[in-house]
Amino acid sequence: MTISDAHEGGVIVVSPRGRIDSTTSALLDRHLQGLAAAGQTRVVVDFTGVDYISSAGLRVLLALAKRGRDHKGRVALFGMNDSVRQVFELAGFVALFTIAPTRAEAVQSAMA
Amino acid sequence: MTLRVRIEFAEGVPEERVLEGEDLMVGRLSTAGLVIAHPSVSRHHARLSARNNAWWIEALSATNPTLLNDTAISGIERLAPGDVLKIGTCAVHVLGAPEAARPAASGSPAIDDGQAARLAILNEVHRALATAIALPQLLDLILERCFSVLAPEEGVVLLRTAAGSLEPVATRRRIGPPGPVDVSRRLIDEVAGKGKPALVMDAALDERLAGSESIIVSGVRSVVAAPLVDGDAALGLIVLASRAGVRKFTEHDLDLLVSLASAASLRVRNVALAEEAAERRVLERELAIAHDIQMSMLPKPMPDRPEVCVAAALKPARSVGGDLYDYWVSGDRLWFIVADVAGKGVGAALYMAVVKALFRACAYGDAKVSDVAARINREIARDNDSMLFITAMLGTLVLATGDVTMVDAGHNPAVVLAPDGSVTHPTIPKSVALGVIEDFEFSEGRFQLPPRTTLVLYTDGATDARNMAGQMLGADRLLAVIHHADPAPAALVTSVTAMIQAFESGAPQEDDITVLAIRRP
Repeated sequence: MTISDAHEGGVIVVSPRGRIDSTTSALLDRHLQGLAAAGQTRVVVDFTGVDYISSAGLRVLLALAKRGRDHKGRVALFGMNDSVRQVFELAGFVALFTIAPTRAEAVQSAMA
Repeated sequence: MTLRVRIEFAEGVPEERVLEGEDLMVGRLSTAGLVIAHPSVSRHHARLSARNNAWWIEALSATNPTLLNDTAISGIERLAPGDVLKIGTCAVHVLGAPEAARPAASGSPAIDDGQAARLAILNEVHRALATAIALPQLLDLILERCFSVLAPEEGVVLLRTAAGSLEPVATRRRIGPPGPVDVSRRLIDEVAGKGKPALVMDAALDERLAGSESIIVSGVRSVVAAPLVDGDAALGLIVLASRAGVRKFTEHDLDLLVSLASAASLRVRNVALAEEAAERRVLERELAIAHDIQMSMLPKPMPDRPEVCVAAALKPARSVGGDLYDYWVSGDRLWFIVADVAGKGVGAALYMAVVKALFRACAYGDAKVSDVAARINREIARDNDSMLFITAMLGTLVLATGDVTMVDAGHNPAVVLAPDGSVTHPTIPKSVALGVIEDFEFSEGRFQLPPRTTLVLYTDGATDARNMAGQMLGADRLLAVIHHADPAPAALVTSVTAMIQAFESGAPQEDDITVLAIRRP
């Protein structure tokens, strides 16, 4: 998995690429925690390059959402393929996240 | 005596040098007699010495070998024109000199007494290394040999602990019983920190000691110290000390100590590796025990009853895992659960045990399934900073009627295999996984399981199993296997797990796999 960041206004768009599984999720977790430590509370996660997410990956995103709530931040997700979206649906997590249809709308939502 | 050599680097222009002397250190330090300033070369890599009208090479680094004509040298080897030494990645060609001609008759070189003693002590230490002596005896032997050859008043070996600090592990005194030997922090930093040997002739004048109390409390003036080096990491150091009036150390003493230290380094590293292997074996035994305990927490196979047959299988990806199944008949109904703690390994296994205990404590008689889910959820969600969550499918089957009540807490959908072989997903409202929202209200779904119909629950380790090509099994293949399987629970569970194993075809299992089947005869 590779992770890249882009800044759009006051929002950071994090783009992991590849599989977010029990091996790679720690990498994403450290990356997101690093952003939180740097005071970056408005985060968009770009799923367009993500082929698969396991429960360990969901846990990383839950932690991101929890940090967002704790620090009055904003978190939005976009770009999930069908199988990744299904993992969110199976776990009952769709209602827990702002899942936007497009990048622009995700950034907009994280800015609000 | 002179020696002409050509040094060829892996990259760059070869250099030709004429060496002069009797005893030359080969290394990348600028103080070496033959300086090879290349990162692949150790600080004290090898020694060249001129004896009996010939040049001799001795390897000094325990971890960075010196090769003579492509063979690693262990003791001391004689050089002849045309020989090629490999020092790090650099090739040193011996071009020779009139004085360096090989003598006509071979035999032991005539060595002066000091050199002979040095070789003897090195040989003894090397022999000791070859036998399986333990580290403390080796360190004692090294100190003992140092004392007989270098005649210090005090000596100490310090080794780096697991925590990273350097602690004395062996001490020796010429007079009196062994006791603590004080070594200045500055000297330790200089020798172990920078990997540089040190020869301090006068403590009071040496800037390495400026401001420090003293190397050795009793006013010692002469100290030699050499690092124990493994690659570029310092494992520790050997320090020898004497009052200057009693014994003053020389550069030759320092060289000998460096040779001894390099022999000790190799052994220290080997012992460390052996201890690591032993610790790993202990850990593996403990994990095997944990595996057995976890498996014993699963329910015993339930004998087939007239109203219901149940079978299940759980295959952890590691020794222990985060999957769970349980079932038991309480009153007029069968309680069952299949759950998957996010993650795997020991952490997940601990939560698996918690969920199992909570389920057994709450799920009995005619308790409401949604209340049982809420209770487990509350316990897990409370103080859940690690955001660990558990997906679960849990419910009851009323034995007499086949009425099923289930809660889907973020889990994979259940499958119903009908007598005609058709497979369907019963409609269960989706609830969030356990442990995420403390006050979540779980919804129940109800349906009837007709006779000769089988309910199959599983964890995502089944659908997400991957083969060598990285393809996932997927829900469709799983449904196809259930569709074709013998509907008796034991047979169905066996054919599903066998199919997953066949699909993986040797690829490592990445997640715990659980399958549970419940059938009304």
